[in-house]
Amino acid sequence: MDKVFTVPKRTLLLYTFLVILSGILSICLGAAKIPPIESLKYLSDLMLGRGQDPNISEINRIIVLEWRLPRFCLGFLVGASLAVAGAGFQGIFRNPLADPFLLGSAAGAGLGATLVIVTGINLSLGFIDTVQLGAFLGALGAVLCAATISSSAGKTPASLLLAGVATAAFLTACQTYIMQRNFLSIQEIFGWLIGRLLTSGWTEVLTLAPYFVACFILIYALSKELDLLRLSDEEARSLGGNPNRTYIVVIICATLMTAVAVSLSGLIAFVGLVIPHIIRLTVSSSYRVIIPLSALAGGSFLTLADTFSRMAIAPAELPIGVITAFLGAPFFAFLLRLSKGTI
Amino acid sequence: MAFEAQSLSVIASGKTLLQNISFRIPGGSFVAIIGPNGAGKTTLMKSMVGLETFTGSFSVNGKSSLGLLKDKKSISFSYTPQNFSIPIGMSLVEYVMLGRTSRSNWFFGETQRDYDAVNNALKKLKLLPKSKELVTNLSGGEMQRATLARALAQEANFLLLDEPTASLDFARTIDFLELIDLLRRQLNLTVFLSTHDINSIIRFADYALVLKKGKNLHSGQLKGILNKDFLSDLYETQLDSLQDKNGNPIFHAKSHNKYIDSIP
Repeated sequence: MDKVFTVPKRTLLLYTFLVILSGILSICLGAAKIPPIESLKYLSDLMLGRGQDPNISEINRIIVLEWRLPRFCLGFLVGASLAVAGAGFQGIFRNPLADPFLLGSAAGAGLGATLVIVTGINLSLGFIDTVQLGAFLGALGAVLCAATISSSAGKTPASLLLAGVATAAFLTACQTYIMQRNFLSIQEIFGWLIGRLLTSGWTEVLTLAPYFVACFILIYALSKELDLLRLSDEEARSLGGNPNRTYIVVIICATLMTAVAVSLSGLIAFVGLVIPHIIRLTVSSSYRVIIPLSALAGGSFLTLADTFSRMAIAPAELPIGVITAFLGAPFFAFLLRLSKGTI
Repeated sequence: MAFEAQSLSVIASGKTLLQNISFRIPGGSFVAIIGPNGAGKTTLMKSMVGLETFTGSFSVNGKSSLGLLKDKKSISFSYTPQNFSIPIGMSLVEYVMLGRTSRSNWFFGETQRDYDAVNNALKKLKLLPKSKELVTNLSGGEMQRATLARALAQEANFLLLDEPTASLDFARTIDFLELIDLLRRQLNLTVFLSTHDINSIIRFADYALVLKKGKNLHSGQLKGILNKDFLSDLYETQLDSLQDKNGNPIFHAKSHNKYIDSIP
């Protein structure tokens, strides 16, 4: 009997290869004309702990190792966080339309960032930018608000979902009003809203990495329970599951990783909604497969989109959110046509 | 395994759903839970599982129990609600493997023992050729057998089935009940099955729990108790009965629609 609920070895190899390929492209390509071989040499020197070669350009080395490499890592972590959070939400809400922004985190982050941009306040803690802090607090605040409304409305997944929709609508209205009253800041706000990956070295990567690792491990540990939730709550409980614990842990983890990711990258749509579906359509509908592969696929997809966004009109950059939807939507539509009721 | 309930009551939102229910069922019995709509059949099953908050007590083989879920380490059971889910995108073998969730290794996943249990269950229910099919593509009868396969994969001692034949046709209903009866005898299962299909269940069940408005009208041997007068009283209607060639009664209700007179 074929193995079930496990990632096929070939598929795992393929996705790992995709991550490596996206990494190599991200490091080798960019506005600065550095030969790909040279870029790879910097990387291999770094990984093998070799000393700096005096014959090579210090500027090029800095571009590759201090700019492109952290940007790849940040892109990978943001994409992986959004995709895993999206998969987690789709699991607990049993809703294929669920994405990481479902409970209002996008609207909250948007309002938080808008408020910081228009007021110009500076609460920087030294290692994190004030806009990022505003977006993070906004995202967490929005989900907490939705959870509070839902807790007095029966604490059911449906009530939480609807409370999230109401919260998001309200916060978006507030944000639109503030933008309309501060039209001089509109370009800056809009630039943040459509998402971008800008790094200042490794700070952002080191900020997101611990959240991603901890939340990913917890969500993956509950992937068996997410598979049980594909049945009714009663059946899941009778088979040894604990739906309430799963709801709470997955909501907290998915919200945290989404809040940190959007605070660093802005609102990058589509990845969190579609990547889990792509895994579901092409590999398996089990969450024990979807969660780990979403991390790999989400990470590499966002990195590839970022590389494309840097290259398309170099030295300027296209907004990454435009690229993710522009490339991802037709591909997803193509897969959807082949789905034959499996989604 | 014998199952006993003492003074079981369930009150939800100020409404009494079950009132002072007591019964004792010997191990290996086939128990029919019957009663009109709203009698409390589903609530009784959920309480036995531990999905409802109740007062009173249960015991399994003389050992006190807070519902089967609380004793899942020592007792294995399978509960299939009336409206069970048919998950999209899940193959039959995955569906049956879900029955092994609490037994499989948390870190390493399913072992050969889990695969053997699933394989045997599918083979026993003649579902092995369909193991790779999506459960959404199975017929109603196959899906009911799939729930039984999941129960067998769980190595359940107790089967609790809430109106499993409600969506099956004549022939599939009898096939399914026969299958349950066979498995019960082969594996010494204790089966609790709620149903409105008195004519079919009377041929298989040996015990009856009869409920009406949350109260227990009868708990004990089924033979003899399900007669025309008792059932007419239970369902508040006039019943007639015939006998098949084996002497089993066949009941049918006379028309009594109390709403028709009031329609102008």
